Amino acid sequence: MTDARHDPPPAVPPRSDAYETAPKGARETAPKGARETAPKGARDKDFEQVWATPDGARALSSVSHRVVGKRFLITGFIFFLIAGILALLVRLQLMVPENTFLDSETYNQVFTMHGTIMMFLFAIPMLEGFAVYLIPLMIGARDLVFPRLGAFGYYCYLFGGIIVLSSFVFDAAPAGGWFMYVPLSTSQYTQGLSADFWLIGITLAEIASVTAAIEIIASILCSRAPGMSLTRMPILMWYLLVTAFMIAIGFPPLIIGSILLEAERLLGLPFFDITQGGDPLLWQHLFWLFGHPEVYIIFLPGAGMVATMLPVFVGKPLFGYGFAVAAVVTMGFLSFGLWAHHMFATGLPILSLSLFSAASTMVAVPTGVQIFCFIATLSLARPRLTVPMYFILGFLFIFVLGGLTGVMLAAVPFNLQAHDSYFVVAHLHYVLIGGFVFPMFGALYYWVPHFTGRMMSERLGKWAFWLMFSGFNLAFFMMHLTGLRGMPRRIATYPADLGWDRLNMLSTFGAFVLAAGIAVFIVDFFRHRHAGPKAGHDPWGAATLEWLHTPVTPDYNFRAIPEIRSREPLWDQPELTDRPATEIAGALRDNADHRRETIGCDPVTGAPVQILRLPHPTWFPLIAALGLAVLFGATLASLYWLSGVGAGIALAGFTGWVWEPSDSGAVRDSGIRDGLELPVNVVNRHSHLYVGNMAMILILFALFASLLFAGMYLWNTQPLSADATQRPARIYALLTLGLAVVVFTLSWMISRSVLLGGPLMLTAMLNVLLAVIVAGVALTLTLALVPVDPWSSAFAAVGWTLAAYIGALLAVMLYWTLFNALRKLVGAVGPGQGLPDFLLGSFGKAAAVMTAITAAAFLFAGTPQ
Amino acid sequence: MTALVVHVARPITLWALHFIAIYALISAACAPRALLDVQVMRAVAGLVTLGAGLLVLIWLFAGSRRLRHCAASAPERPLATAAVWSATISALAILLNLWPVAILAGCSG
Amino acid sequence: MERDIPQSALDIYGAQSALEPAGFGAAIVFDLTFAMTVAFGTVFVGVMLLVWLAWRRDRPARHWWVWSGGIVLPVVSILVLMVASTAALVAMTRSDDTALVVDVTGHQFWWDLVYDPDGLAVRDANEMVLPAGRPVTLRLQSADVIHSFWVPSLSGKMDMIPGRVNTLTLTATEPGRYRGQCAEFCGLSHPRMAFEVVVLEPAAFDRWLIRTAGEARDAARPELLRGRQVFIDYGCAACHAVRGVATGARLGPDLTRVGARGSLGAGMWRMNQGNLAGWIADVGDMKPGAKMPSYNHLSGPDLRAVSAWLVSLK
Repeated sequence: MTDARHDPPPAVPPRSDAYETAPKGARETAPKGARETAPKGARDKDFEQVWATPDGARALSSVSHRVVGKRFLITGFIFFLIAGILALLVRLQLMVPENTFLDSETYNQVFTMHGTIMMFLFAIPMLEGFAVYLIPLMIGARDLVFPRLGAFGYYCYLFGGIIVLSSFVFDAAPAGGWFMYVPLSTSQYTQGLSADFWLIGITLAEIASVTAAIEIIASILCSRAPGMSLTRMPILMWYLLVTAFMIAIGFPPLIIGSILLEAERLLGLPFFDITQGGDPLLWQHLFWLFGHPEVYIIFLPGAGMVATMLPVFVGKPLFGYGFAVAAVVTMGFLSFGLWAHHMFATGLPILSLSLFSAASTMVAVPTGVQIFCFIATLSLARPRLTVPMYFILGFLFIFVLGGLTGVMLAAVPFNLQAHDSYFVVAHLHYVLIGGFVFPMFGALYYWVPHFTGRMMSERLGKWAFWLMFSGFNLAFFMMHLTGLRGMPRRIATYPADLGWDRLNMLSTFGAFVLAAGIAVFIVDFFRHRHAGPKAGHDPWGAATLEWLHTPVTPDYNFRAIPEIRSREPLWDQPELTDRPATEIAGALRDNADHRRETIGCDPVTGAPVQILRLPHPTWFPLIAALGLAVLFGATLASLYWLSGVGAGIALAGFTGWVWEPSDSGAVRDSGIRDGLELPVNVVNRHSHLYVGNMAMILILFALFASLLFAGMYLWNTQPLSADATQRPARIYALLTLGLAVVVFTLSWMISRSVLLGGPLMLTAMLNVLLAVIVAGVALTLTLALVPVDPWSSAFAAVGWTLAAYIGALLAVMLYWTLFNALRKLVGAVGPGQGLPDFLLGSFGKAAAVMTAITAAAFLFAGTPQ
Repeated sequence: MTALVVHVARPITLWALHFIAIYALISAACAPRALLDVQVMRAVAGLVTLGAGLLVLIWLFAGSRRLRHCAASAPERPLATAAVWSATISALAILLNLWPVAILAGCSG
Repeated sequence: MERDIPQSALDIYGAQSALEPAGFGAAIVFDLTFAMTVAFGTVFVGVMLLVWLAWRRDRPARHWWVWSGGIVLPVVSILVLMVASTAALVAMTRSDDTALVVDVTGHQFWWDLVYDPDGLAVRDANEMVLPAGRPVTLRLQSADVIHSFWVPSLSGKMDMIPGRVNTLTLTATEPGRYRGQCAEFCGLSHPRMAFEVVVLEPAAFDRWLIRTAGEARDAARPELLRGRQVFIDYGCAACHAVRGVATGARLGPDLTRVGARGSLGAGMWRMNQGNLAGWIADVGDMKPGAKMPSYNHLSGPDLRAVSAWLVSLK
């Protein structure tokens, strides 16, 4: 395989009639002569204007990844502080035995919210913030590929977080633990709205996680700088890519579980009711199918940041890049096989216990590979002991210790003593704080100069580190002993003289020392903004592209997108550092169309294949998120008419978002060597929208699989109730299966029609036909389930939920296909602009497959055993 | 290079399928519905593991050969390395999946 | 008289600790814990030493660092750990057909016990009495939410899940008194759902079981009769059974030998007349979320009488 530089330029897609005529809606190109004679300064100014962030209140309409990333980071950090204060309240209550500082109800709310906020409103959004901010900068792109999706995700997170926090104001804060076990969290044992605040608020905030996953996957695969193959991209991109896939598969079980529990609370559906063939363990399986990958989703970006910073301070590339890639990929997969190790005490058969025990120990292998890659890197030269390096060393100490107690917990006999005791509290804080929070603080010291242009204080940074390190260890190391001495978790108080008194007092003291360290960081952050030394060019001597400009990097990231020939471009490519950053040669220097754009690449080789046109600031993501917030909030308040209004606003927001002229069909000079011309927004599998669509389809399949799992689980573990459930009508199930095949065929025909450049009217007719068939499927599916009463058994309820899920997919498809038809009918679509139909084709095929599987399941269930 | 990406992903994907199979087999034998006799289940699990194990070992040896013939400075070398290590880790993980079924005689020990 | 049963553990330090095993399962886990702590502690120190060495090293690392530390070391540890832990697990979960069976049902926030449910069917609550050296099969269930049965000094824990019966085989090895606690968050008074386990010599246990199967013995002093009457008049028998006085009710703990228990309120406070009176008058304050209503409308003399009578039930 030769160096990409010597490869022939990638073939431009075959010219059809579509390219000869200027398509309707595409912006006109400035005449060639005008481009060459306009003065350079005017061109630069025009370019900056295209990329400028609006000021004042209009900044809320900004969709630029720099703005959205910083919003995630700031909001995430604020939630971190809130949850940290809740932790201090917990420690104050537990400082002495039989304390009355907090009553039981308040304590239960405090520890529940501490865990909930840390896991959902701090850790995930914080890593998203780093991802959203850093990815384009490190891969040589001007923005993420779906900026509006990122902005939308942020607003959903913000509104969801506000809903959850507001529960304190209504004295209805969730008090069932962050894990919300049933039956305690069902409507029977938790009356009032507290559990609903959790279920509804967190689900809204989770939308940000899945949208971020789609964005990360599509951006890393499709928008890298020319020549940046998979093996030349920074290791952090591998970490984030794997993390994004884990989010896509790992969050759906929780989303499904939350929907089931909320349906139980609102509608009385008996998913977890043992008198109706339900099972409390179903919740635990769904929760931990999410919960275990979740903690690796949190750990991997932290390790990725260590893998980025550590080589900089050694001055040598990461040792064993190939090893690390294998370790990260295998760890992503293996983490999905561990979930039941949270359930060792629930009475699972010993074969299951042993399977999950073995799998849990196995994950030590890829973890060890990464740690040893880091240690080996340290040996390559004498490292510099900067403040971020302190936090990296802290990570090594704390995380390795936590990982080893994790291997201890994987041993079932030991787990049966340590489970639900303070030993686990110690373990989880060692791996989460060691594996994520310490790298996060290192990353903040490292990248804050990129945000603000100034360096934070070395002296205060060391104080912050030592206070945090010593406070953390004092607080949490003791807890290993406390737990083994018999102290269970989640208890508001404890009697004296059981051997826990002094240990708890020490833990509380340590917690406050840790808090003091964080306070020092905050003071330093605010101080440095006016008093910190200005950061020069590449202040840390780093190798990656985000340091190309002297901080603060301009809004457009790269004036021209350089070609990449190395994994450490700033170290190995002198043409990137021997001249001002704005004069570096590269792609897309000209901006004749006055549009935001970046280069689209082949996912594996990094060869340039298209120009990606990116959105300018817009209000639609905020409107759509606001609509969803009203929908969710009104449902929580049981104001269902208002929920409808919210849904309408969201729909209007989404429609405005996607109703825009297409950029496809044009070809432009990319500015890469010898006038290489590239198509804009291609309509084929290289399209970033195609990749994003596939990521979304992956998530939809994961949601579907979670529901199937729920059904199969109940069928298998509650056979009497499942067999006694009424049977679906087989004739309608068969009809649904047949119509699903028709939907599949029509969807396939629609994509082929686009790829082959077929007449628009034909495609429009197929759109309408598809709509009719989809409506038919919804009808037959409902008729199949008419004989089944969803309240009669948990198995029946899951069947109806499965059908409702398919119904939601069908509704989306109906809207989408009619939307596409309408746009063609009003003449808003030109030739070569069939991307929406191309994507609909994939979506339709996926939905058809899921419909067919559901129909087959109903056929099977409809047949007497 | 695209082929190498597949070579990194396929061993661990095989592990995932193997894990799902073992989990499904244990669930089928040990849950209240008791679809499968335990000894039959163990035999099936053994066969499935044999198949998966052979496949991943083939991939491991093929990958090692490819790595040996890959130039040290070739741009795709990290992926070739990753493919070998992915196969190694996956092979170990597949074997470990079989541990409970191999060692324990029945659903309750 | 209960000469066989020692004083409440509320006076004893460390009777609720996995590090002070007094049962077969706990002893196995203790050995495993010790071995793992030494082994992994050594690994940890070794890794930290490697970090320090790497920091100071002048020659770059070799590939074998990564695959020996990342693959060989974990694989060897895993194999040893899996062999040891599987052996321990099989030993701990081995069930014995001749074992004594006790049905334990968790409620919010107390423990219902039935000894020998298919035979003598002796019902009791909150303080479990067991024979030393004999395996006991606990059949764990729940009447409401998920609870977990945990006596760290004797054995690992097992969850009590509504709709299933989980079995825990437990063998206490040392006579004594041990404290246990609910180990699965179960609501408002989860921290106050504890219990005590009293381990007797086998012969003493057999005598105890026969004696307890019989009717309640309330010392039959005439001044206690008023208390018994209060118990009946105020409807306590609707929830609480006392063999020989009021039978059939299962909504609340069985009170046949309540006075003999070392603790009150499920392992929380010392059993004596004063605490009992305070409990009856204001249980909602002592244990928020408890289903028992507070009987603060009892007159002072009535309250003293009923608590005196209850404390005499041995």
